Amino acid sequence: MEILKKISENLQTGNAPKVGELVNKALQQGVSPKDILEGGLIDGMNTIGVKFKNNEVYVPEVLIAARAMHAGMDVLKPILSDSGVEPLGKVIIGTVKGDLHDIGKNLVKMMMEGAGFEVIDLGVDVAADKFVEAVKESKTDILAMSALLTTTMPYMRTVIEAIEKAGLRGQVKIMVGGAPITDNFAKEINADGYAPDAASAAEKCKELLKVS
Amino acid sequence: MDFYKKLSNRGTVLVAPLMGLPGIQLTKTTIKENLENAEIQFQTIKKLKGKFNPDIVFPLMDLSVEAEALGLKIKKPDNESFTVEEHPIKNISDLKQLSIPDPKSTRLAVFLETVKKMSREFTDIPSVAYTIGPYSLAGLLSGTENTAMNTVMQPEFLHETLKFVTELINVYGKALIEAGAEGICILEPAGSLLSPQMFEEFSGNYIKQLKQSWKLPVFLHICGNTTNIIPKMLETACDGLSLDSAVDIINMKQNIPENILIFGNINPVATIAYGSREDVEREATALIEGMRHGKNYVLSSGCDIPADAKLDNIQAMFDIAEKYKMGE
Repeated sequence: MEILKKISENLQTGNAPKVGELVNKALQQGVSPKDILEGGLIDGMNTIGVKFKNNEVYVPEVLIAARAMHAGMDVLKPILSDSGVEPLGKVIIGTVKGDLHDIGKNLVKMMMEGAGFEVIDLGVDVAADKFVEAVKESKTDILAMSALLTTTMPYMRTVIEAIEKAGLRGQVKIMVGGAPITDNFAKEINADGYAPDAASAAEKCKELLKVS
Repeated sequence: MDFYKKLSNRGTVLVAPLMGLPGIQLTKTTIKENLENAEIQFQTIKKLKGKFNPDIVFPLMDLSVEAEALGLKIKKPDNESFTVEEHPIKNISDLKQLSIPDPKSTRLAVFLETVKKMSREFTDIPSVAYTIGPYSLAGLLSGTENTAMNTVMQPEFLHETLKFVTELINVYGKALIEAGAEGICILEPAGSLLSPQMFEEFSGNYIKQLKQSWKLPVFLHICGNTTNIIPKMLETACDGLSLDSAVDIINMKQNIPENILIFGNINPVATIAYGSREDVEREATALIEGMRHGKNYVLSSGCDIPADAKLDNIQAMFDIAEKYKMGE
């Protein structure tokens, strides 16, 4: 559909007002919210994700595209829940306690949203009990943690232990990432998944939940 | 004596990890004490130098000190690196509120004093000081994300910010040189977020100005995978590149002229801090072997080594280099 293609293209070039306008227009034309989401917004973010992985675009373009996606989502969100379109899953994300870095975490969040997940962002400097509380409060499929500092990285283990202690470990998959994190470290602390970059993190999410 | 003269007396297998923080294990001090007191920091570096005998010596890394000098709010835990808490500069009028301070009247003085002590005491090896890079400092002023988006959305404002921070870095760098620094290593961690063209426009061109102004060996360190921007890093006319562990430097060395030093790039976290001695030995051996044909190689860590790194793993880098030196 021509208009969905336009939404995707404008999202990729980061034209936020245009994306909002086109989503409204598509709704007026009777295109279903699900098609707008999948054929327009997710398609655009997906393309950006692939280009990001291939070094065809860089962080600034991803951030600007994500901003345009949000402009579209702002229009679409209220209608989506009414029309019964379900997200692929729910993710809780945060940078662990002691760490104020958020660009990596935010990129992961954007890519996950762009892939069709609902993401609840707890922000930076998040303590273990906050993660536990958030998982308890809503049906969470994935808990994703980020750390940039080697001094805060061990705190991921503390969070996982707190989740275990609260008896929640069986119902949530745990993912970790950030510059100093490795696959080995993830295994060591008993996380379920690790991804080296934001685009792979969204894929890992799908893999862990066995959705596509 | 200048940087290269001192290095030329040090043999052919050079080792200079980006280490400072692990020294606190030797002096039983906190990170905070070292970042606030020049004498404590100097003693930490002196202990490290005594223990490992590196070929170049650096102060402790602190990416918040320039931002603090501009009045930003800094979080200062006892035993973690300092970080900038707020990024309040959102537009030109915010920027106009800032002014360039006299470095001596701010915490920059701790590093000026440390470098002064280093260059006086360490006559056998060069003392290289650190400054933050312009794009990363702009990121601290306005927020990393806003700054990245401003490369596209508000490039004029970003250039105004970059001009201003470059002036601060220039003034600070000149003060470091006056204090005795024999080289300056610019730390531009946020540079790896950019495309090659963006890097050139929003970082490289400003670094080039600093290099021209300082007139001494300038090195450029960027964290993360910088493979795609190496040609643009070279265009800054810096005298050396410090490349992180994500870069395949053995493969990249053919693209780097022989007069440019290459520092790198054992993984500072997975290998040096938390790996085994054998892991370090294996990586160091592979690097020395792979980089051997270039005379411009300095065995180093890919990035700053964490404070709690095993000292024996750092020793392993030096032991491997020593083994090669003996073989010559």
